[in-house]
Amino acid sequence: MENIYKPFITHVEEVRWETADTKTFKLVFDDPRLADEFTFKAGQFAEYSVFGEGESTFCIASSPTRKGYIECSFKVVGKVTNALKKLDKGDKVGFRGPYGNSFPIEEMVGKNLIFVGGGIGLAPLRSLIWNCLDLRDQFKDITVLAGARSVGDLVYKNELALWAERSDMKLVQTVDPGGETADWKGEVGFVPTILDKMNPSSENAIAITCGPPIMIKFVLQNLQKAGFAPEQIITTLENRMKCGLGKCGRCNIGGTYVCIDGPVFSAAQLNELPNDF
Amino acid sequence: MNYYRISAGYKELIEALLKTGASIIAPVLYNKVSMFRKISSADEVLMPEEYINTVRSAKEKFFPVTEPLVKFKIEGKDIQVRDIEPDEAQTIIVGLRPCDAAAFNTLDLLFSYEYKDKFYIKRRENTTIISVACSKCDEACFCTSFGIMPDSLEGSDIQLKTDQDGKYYAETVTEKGKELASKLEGLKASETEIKSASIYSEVKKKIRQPLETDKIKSWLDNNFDSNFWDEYSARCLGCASCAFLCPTCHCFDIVDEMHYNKGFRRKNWDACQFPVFTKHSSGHNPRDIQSKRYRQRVMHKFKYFSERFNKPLCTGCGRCVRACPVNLDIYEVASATVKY
Repeated sequence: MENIYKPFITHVEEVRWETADTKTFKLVFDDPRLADEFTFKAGQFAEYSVFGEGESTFCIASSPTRKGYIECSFKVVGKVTNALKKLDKGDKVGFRGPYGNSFPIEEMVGKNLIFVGGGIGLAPLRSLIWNCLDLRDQFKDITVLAGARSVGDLVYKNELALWAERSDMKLVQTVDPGGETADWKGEVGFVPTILDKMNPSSENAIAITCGPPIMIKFVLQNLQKAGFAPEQIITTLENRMKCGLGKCGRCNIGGTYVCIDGPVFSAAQLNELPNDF
Repeated sequence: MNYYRISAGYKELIEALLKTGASIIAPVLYNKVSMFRKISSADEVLMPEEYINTVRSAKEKFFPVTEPLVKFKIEGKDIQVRDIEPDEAQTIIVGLRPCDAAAFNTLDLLFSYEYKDKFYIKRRENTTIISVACSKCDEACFCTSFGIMPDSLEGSDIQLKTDQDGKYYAETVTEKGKELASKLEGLKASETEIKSASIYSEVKKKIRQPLETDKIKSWLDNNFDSNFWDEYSARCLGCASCAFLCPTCHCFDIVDEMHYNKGFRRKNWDACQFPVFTKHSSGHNPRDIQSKRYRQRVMHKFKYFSERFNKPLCTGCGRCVRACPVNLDIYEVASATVKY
């Protein structure tokens, strides 16, 4: 019988500082066969580990269309992320996954897509955004609203620059009031406020959002104000997790386990959950 | 037939079990606490008359307090990760009560749900369960709330009962139980059914009135935000004695442990009553106060687990009631919900 707790070994292929406290790793499986065979879907997550320090839960931030590697982005806050921070090219990282459900990409085909990300919440959306851009002709208009507390806190700056140049998508960037710099050319305002100003059409559209809980709360409100039905709004949740397998008992919201029933939920599904976030 | 006469007493039966070569786990007094441990002689064993139920349940034989999941060795930049195989020794657990035997069937659902936990499952496969029917109960017991009786067979391979002459006899329940009974010294198959003493129906009458679990569940369905939780959990200390002694509680943590360049990744018991259990690294905590944590315990026992597995996460063993330092009684709390 297989050991469900045994991690695969990956090595760090590339390291990128996104902000002063957020890092992205490009990871490649040590076992070349696994590197070839490994598949996942946008929205899924994994348990990443530093041996001797422990495991931590993050989404897979790269697109499933980009084969042979995975990327993860993490903010340095706790024991494991502090240990991860110290790793460099060639260092080993344990990986268990992919776990959880995924974004309903089949339902998004032929639709206008609006992505709303705040801070590090852009990471799971980035997986899906690149997934959709790599299959660009399957979707109609693609709009991305990316926000952060300050210009320095914006993640994936290189990619934001790439997206800004593309003619087949629209990118709106914003920072919280007071977070702008002298040469900032984007919007200034909280993500929900800017979304309100954009007033996206709900017709044949799906909105996908992720960010801090308070941002998600107001983004959901403003999307519904703009005419989006709860079924047209998708978000991805996170809770403290250990196993990722529906056993260790801590990530549940009511009877729903974020690890096996989520992490991706529609606003309609969220409405059914008790107030236990 | 499923009935076996036992030629001598309980201790001789334990001796016969020891002779099978299997690892025998039975209730003993260890540091003044009754719990299940591996024994090497029948003299160590507590007689069933000496305990209503053990302080610690037998779940730790399948789901230990702490156990290694993988081992690793770090050499420079290289890391070797080795799988760990659970102990494959044939094991017999004897002397546990029907509520504890039933609890294994409940835990089976969780550890084999979608992802199979080989550590739990392999030990379970290699173990034979011999329960002893209850000839006594105390004011904490409430097994009948979940359809369990003092002589329920659920989860047992063999059950030991007392006949009308006051002698122990064995009733086999599963094929595994039959196989063991047929080769056990001092056991003789009976041609006819052996009738048990009337004590079991007498004990059943003394157990607290069954909880109306369906009604409780529908109350829970509608009262997540009720003031009930603040009121009834006000005295909870969050010590988690209830969770650690419970035969069905299964929450765990996964942590690394290092000695120089070698280490283990371990699965350790954890409990929903602790504040850090759900605390995010950002500092946000969905269950930031004790009333939310106590609510989680009651909801998990009577609602969440039943919704997924069609079985409540409680067998009414009463350990949490006996151990609670502030006399918080889950039976009383559950009964109070529907009257609130």
